[in-house]
Amino acid sequence: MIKNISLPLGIKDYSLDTIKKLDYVKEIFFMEVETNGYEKVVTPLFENIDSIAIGSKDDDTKKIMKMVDPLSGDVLGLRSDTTPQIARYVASNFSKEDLPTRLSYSERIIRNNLDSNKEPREIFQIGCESIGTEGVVNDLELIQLGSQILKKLGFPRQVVTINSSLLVNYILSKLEFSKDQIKTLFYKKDFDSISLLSKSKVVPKREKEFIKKIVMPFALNKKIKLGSLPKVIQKEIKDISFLKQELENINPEIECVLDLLDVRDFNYYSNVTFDISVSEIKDNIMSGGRYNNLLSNYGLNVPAMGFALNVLPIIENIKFDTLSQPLAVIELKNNQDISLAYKIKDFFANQAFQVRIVESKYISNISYQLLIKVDKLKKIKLLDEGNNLLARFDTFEELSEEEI
Amino acid sequence: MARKGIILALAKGRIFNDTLELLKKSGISTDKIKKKSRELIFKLDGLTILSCKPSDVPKYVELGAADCGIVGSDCISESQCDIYEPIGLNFGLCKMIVAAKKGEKIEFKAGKEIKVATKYPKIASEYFIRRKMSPEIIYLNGSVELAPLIGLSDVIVDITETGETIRKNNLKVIDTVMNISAKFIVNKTSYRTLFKHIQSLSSSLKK
Repeated sequence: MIKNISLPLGIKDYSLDTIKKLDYVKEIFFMEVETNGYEKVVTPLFENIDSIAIGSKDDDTKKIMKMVDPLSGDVLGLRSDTTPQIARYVASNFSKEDLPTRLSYSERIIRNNLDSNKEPREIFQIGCESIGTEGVVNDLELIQLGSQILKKLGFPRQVVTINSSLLVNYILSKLEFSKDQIKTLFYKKDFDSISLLSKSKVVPKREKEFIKKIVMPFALNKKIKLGSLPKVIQKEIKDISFLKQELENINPEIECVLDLLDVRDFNYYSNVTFDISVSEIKDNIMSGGRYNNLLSNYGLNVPAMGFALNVLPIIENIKFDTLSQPLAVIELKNNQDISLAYKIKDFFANQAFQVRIVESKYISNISYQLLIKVDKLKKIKLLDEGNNLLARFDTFEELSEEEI
Repeated sequence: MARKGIILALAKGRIFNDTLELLKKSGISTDKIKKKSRELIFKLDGLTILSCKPSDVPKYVELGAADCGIVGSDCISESQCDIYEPIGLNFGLCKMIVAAKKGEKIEFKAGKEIKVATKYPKIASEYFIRRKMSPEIIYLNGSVELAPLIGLSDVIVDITETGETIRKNNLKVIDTVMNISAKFIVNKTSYRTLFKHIQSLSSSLKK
């Protein structure tokens, strides 16, 4: 009996067309980051679960695919995010004197989403990390690099959204009773409900005042008296405003939006974070941010920042002609001289064609730009996609003399 | 501010008339929608309106088929879609309740198994699991009130505006699961790429 073999939920195969686009994205990405001093690293497919889980939210550690190491009995986790792996790699192999370092990667990661009908579980992650650098100039350099890569991939009209994990974490640290609720409401941008909390009888007076004076003005994009905030937060907000201004100065075609109360999917972000979107794709196509505390979890206390491309939506929308090399098909009939077909194949391949030798019965299944027929007398006919005769040659040698 | 390019998904059914009224008050002419109510797509005032089944609206918005939508918070919670919910609207007000047959004693204690008939399996399941109970969810698509009366379930989880249908069917409300109202929801990427247009639309809805 033949078994119906299916793939697990959220897992799929990728066809040649997708892979060509993926390779193109990688080529553009690595060309751009290499010229900016980034070196490529390859991280392990799986690691001890403790190492993988550092930097993930509690809920996200549930999404790591786990297994038991038959050699040691340790619990292992499949790679679910490359950034913590790079943090571990740098902390284990570099000292502060070796820094800064700039690293890039292209890996496949597995996120065991519970609702896997909705999202793929296997994700292509292509990104880079600048480790041992800090300050607004470095933030600008990295966002600018990300934006440049997207421009080269054919997405010039970008919206860059800048957020502040430092501000969000500060606000949440000041709340106790309403902390979880506020975090959920930030995530949904449900500022109406946050406003209701500031009037609620059950919320302690101190928290209501804080929501009214600090949270709501940020939520409604109103002017805020920075003096009421800690100096480190004041500096962050000034830096982010500077970042917005400079990005817009350098890239007049880019729209820059401040969304300071955005809650991120990873809890390792510590300061400025950013997303880049374009109107033609209903998903962020790049996101990243500063994670100044992550490396200290692995024993090296240095700042860092990185970003990753959201690869699948990019390759679904990329304007890349997969048939940039025209396809020539050599029709292979019964009893035909196969060695001649291969000679013709080599000839056209040298003329920058993709060439395939196809049996007559399969010709109708293929879209080609050039059809090559050989008759019993070894005469060669070239036809276009509409079967119109383009040229005729009496011998292979004659063909080789022609310019195609 | 022109709203060119925004696609707005509206929930047909319970809140549809109130939604049209709100759009009208916000300065958007909705006459076309009333006249051609069997159509599903309408172009008006720089907006494209999609007329959708309520439970589908959050999905349309999450996947970007619509930039934003107006739908009841019951459908949003049940869908568990990843969307922004920036504005609560002051209509479509009702409650999601747990109700049982009058005279029936329902114990809410940890570990207890309970049969629940509902159109909202995710919300109902979460409600009872939060109480450490073991719900057996029976998904029904309509006339949910019938289930406890014929012994199909112990309780129902359903929405009610006045409680009239509940009372008429010899049921009583045991608890409120959540208060419900219509909400303006937005796709996460459209919120960024159409920021000014969506802000303009949401402030006119808020007026």
